Amino acid sequence: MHDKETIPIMVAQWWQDRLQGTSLGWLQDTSYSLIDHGLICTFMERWHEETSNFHLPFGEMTVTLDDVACLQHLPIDGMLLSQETITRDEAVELMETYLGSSKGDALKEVEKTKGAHFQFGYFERIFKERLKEQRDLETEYGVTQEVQRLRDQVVRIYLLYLVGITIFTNKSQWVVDVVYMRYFRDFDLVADYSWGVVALAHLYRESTMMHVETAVKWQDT
Amino acid sequence: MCLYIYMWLSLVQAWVFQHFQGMGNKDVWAGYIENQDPRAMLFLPLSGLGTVDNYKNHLDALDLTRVVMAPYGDHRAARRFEQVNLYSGWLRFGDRMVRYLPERVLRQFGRVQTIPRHLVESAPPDVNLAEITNRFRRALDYALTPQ
Repeated sequence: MHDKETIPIMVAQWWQDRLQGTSLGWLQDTSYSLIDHGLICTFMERWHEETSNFHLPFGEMTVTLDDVACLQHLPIDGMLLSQETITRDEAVELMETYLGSSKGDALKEVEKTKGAHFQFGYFERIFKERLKEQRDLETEYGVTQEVQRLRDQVVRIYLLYLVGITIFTNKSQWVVDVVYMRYFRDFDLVADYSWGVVALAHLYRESTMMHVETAVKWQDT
Repeated sequence: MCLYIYMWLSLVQAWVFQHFQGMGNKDVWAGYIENQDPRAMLFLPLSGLGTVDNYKNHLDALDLTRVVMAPYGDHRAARRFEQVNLYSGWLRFGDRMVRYLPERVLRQFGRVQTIPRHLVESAPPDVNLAEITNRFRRALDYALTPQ
């Protein structure tokens, strides 16, 4: 979503006002474009699932909540994300209400992904649609309530997309769960959730999966 | 146009850069501002790219003088230390749960590591999801209550 069409928006005051309090803005900057797989593998071999840590020659070490807070500036002192899974119908309703999706579109999307999920491409499309709508409306009528509502939707779409391509990314899932929409209904409340815990728990789970994969690969050779 | 980022891999990498000297972390970003930017931005992962064998040998030969257990002393103006860091037990997100056991890595908090408790004591296996949420909330309440 970062291209020459959208980058100017990310410096607009309305954009920054909404994003600033969410504490998720840093996610744009704290992920590396280059991953050193040799380095990662070296540590993954030493991962232990039961204790969620690395067994190193000089003892146990692990990524802690403090590491997440300092490395990525994600909040750790908030509520845990304790959502249950939602049905497709609930997903469609959330999409209509908070992202401005049309019912037909939303239905098509959950049909395609066979669950309460979006594809990233769908995000990119509605992001641009809402952006254009708010721009056209603003040019004609100024910053009306409707423009504000559209802007809220634009930022929600972006936040869902952002956590989708960063915190929740894994190999098997190229979609974003609509259920996370619940945490973006009110921008003032986003930072009350412990996104750092989500990031860390995800890291622990993925490490376990990668450790198992590596072990299987060795057995084969 | 869309760049998928495996953030958890980035996070592991940033963590290694931060704690282990000579493990791919030669290049630092000159524009980094300590009391503003997240620490992950300090390092530029451009060099490194060693082989697994190289890294393994390096790690095996590392002695504790080249391991930075608690690297965030200078960063406290940007992120203060939260008591909840020391919460030990289950964490959850949605219906998934993992063990979080800082009690086994106390050196990373500048403390002396004692012999760890048994796992069953640290994170009882018979816990349910709602209970995890409650326990974490209690840990937060406790951390926020002035002594």
